This record gives sequence, C-alpha cells and structure tokens, in this order.
Amino acid sequence: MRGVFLFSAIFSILALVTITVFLFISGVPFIAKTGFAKFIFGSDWAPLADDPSYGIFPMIVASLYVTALSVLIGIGVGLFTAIALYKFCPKKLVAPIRQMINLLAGIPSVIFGLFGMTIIVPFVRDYVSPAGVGYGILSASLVLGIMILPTVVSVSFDSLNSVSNTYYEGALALGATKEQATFKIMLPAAKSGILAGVVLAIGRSIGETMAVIMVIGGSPEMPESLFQSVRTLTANIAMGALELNGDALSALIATGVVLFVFTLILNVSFSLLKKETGDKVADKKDRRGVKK
Amino acid sequence: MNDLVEGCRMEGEYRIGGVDIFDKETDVNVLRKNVGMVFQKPNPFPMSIYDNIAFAPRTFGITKKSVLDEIVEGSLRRASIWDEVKDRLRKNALGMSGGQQQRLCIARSLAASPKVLLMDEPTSALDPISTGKIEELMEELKKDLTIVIVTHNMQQATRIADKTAFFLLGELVEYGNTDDIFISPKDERTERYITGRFG
Repeated sequence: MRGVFLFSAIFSILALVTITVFLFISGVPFIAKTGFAKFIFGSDWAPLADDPSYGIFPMIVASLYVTALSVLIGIGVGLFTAIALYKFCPKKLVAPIRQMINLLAGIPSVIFGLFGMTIIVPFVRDYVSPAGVGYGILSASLVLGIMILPTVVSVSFDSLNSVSNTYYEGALALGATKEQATFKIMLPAAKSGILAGVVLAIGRSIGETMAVIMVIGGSPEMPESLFQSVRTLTANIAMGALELNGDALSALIATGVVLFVFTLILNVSFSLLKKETGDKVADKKDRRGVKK
Repeated sequence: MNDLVEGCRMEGEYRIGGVDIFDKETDVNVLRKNVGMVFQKPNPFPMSIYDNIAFAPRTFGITKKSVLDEIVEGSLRRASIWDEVKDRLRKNALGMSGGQQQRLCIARSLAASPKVLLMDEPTSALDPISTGKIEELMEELKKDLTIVIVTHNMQQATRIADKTAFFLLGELVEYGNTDDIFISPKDERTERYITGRFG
C-alpha cells in the first residue's frame, strides 16, 4: 500500500518535471538557433513563408495588454464586490451571492468564449469601437475580467474577513464612517492577502486560451488599438498546434517556454506574498501570547 | 455602535448633552466623535503609533503636518504615554505591551477630542501594574471629560468613580454617589452583589 501512496505522490512531481524538461529541451534549442533577440523581440511571425521568420514580440505585447486590462477590470469590479459583501450588503444576501460568484468559476472557458463571441463582440463592434471592429483586446479583456472575478472576490473577501473586527469597531468609535473604516483601516490591513489574489488572477488571465481565441481575432500583428485583431501567446500556441510541424512546431513550443517563464514568475511571487501574509498572522499570535 | 450587536434591545430615551442620540436628525459620526470609546481588549490599528493617533483627526479632514504633530503629541501626553513612545512613533503599534496598547487606544480616543469617554472594562485584560497606570490616567482625565466605565471590579469602582450605577441583566437597579452605593445600598440586590453573596 505504501508503494501506491508513494507513487501517487511522486506522480505529480514527475509530471511537473517531465513537462518542464520537455518544454525546455524542445524549446530552448530553437530559441538559440533563431537567436534570442530575434525570437523574443522579432515582430514578424510567418512560420509558413518560404523564408520563415519567428518573432513573437507582438504576441508578448498582446498578452501583456490583455492581461493588464482584464486584471484592471476584474480587480476593479471584484474588489468592490468583496467590500460590498463584507460590510455593505444585508447579511442574508452574503452567502447566496458568494455561491453564485463561485458558480461563475465553474463555467467552462469555452462557454465564456461563446458568450464573448455572441454578446460582447457584437456589443463592442456596434457601440464602442470607432472602427466597427468587435474582435480584439477590449473584448478579450472584458471576457477575461469576468472570468477572474470569482478569484478576486473570494480571495479579497477572505482576507478582509480575516482582519480582526476590533479594528473596524475601533475606527467607528473614533468617528469614522463605514467607508472610512473600511478603506483606511480594513483594506490596508488586508492588503497582502488581496495582493496575492491579484497575482493569482494575473496568472489565470495570462494563461487562459480558449475564451481568448474566440474573441481576440487572431492576427499576429503588433497591437496598436484596443479594437484590432491580435494574438496572445496562448492563442498562438493553440491556433498553430494542430497544423504546424517541424521548425514551426518548435517555434510554438518555444512560445510555450516564454509563457511558462511568465507564469512561473507569477506563481513564485504568489507564494512569496502568501508566505508573508502567513508570517504576519503568526507574528500577531505570538504577540498575543506574550501579552497574556 | 449598537447596530453592530445582534439582538440588541433598547427601551426609553437616550440623551447625551440634551441630544437624543437615536433621533434620525442626529449625525452619528459627529456623535461618535464626541463620544470616545475604549474597548475591553486593546485594539490599536496595525500601523504606526503616529498613524494610530492621527487617524481620527485625519478622518475629520486635518492634513497639515504641524497640526497633526501637535495633536499626536498632546494626546499621547494626556494619556501619559508620550515619554515611553516618543522615540518610536513610526514603529508598529502592535509591538507595544498590552498596557501600552491600551493607553495608546485611550490617546487615540482623546485625539478626537471627545466630551464623553466610554470604557468597556478597559483593564480586565491587563496586569495590575498596567491597571494602576490606567486608573491614574482616568483620575487625571475625569477633570476635563466625563468617563463612563464598565467594570466588574468593585474595588476599581470605589477607587475611581464619583457616581456608580448597578445594572443587573440590563435593568438599572440602583444609581447614586459611589460612597452611598457601596456603604448603604438601597436595593437588596445591590447589597448582595457588592458583598459578594450574589446568586
């Protein structure tokens, strides 16, 4: 029996190691062959041309734009939702609203993509875009912003809730309004937890593929406007994976390496932030122990 | 603050300085400014000592640093904790001892220049030395403002209070000068309570 447990434990680590090794073994030599600068900063993606060129800079920029904008949308709405749930909405509604928001997290991303294609893209095309183009960064960011809402809301709500309520009462007793108490005392006290949620949301956003492909257009062009068909790193891999082979396929794997590095950085900063929050709580407990 | 307590029940009229505090017209935030509150457990905000004290004045829109500095120093002096903390105003308030934290909370209330200070068992979580310091402080403060203190410690009540009220299960049983209440209580229940033969 012990063998089974051990194998299960090792299996996931093995999977991680295999994926990482696969990515780097197949991707890194290709980057080296093409030239690091030419691959990362090259602006021309034409893998099927007679003289193929593999520059993914437009995709990197598009990924960063979409991620930044979606996180801005998701955090703007999500943080205020969490605050509303925390102190400004009737207690009876908190549990049902939270449950519904969590349901949002369970919807498959392809459904989000469909929703984006049929509702958001036409809306952006008809009412927002000056050029009448619906597919693009804005639509993708809106869809992604909705997708990351559950993460932002639940992490922010939990960090707000874990702040001692005595701070809140103390602030009210000093003549602060509910808003002042929440924004000046509770929010700063919950800051690191919320930040960790933000990093998690960024990770989801940069890695999302399906929903993005369906609303972003897909042309590997340098993003110049919010309403222009572009392509993210994830979209690049998914769109080419089934039809490209040889060097072009290696280029996709190399794109994966870049994406992997991005998410790795995010994950590491997430665990660092989480650790810091944990330390702080432990610290507080220690001090309480000393006091008594 | 009552709104935060679930199942709270109120009867009668509540007036502070002639103002009905549950009147719709009354601005609760002004009321909370005039009535400071110190809690049973010290609850300094997780920020620097300076910011703790400056919180109330900042809330009322004071931003000028010289004015804030003055309020912070004045409040800390009035709470007789200035000498202990003046060199570490920028340090986190959670690093102080329990007694210091409680005096910091009193100073923080004073920074809002209240007319009445409510203290809900302010010393029950503290050691005797810190308790002594806080009682001294209350003696000093009661010259300028009204202090309403809830305590289960009858010696404490006789030491510091001018007037005493005895509540039992939410009912006001007896109210009068501290000396009268403790030496010749009118109500039998009061007598049983102060002589420790309750229940």
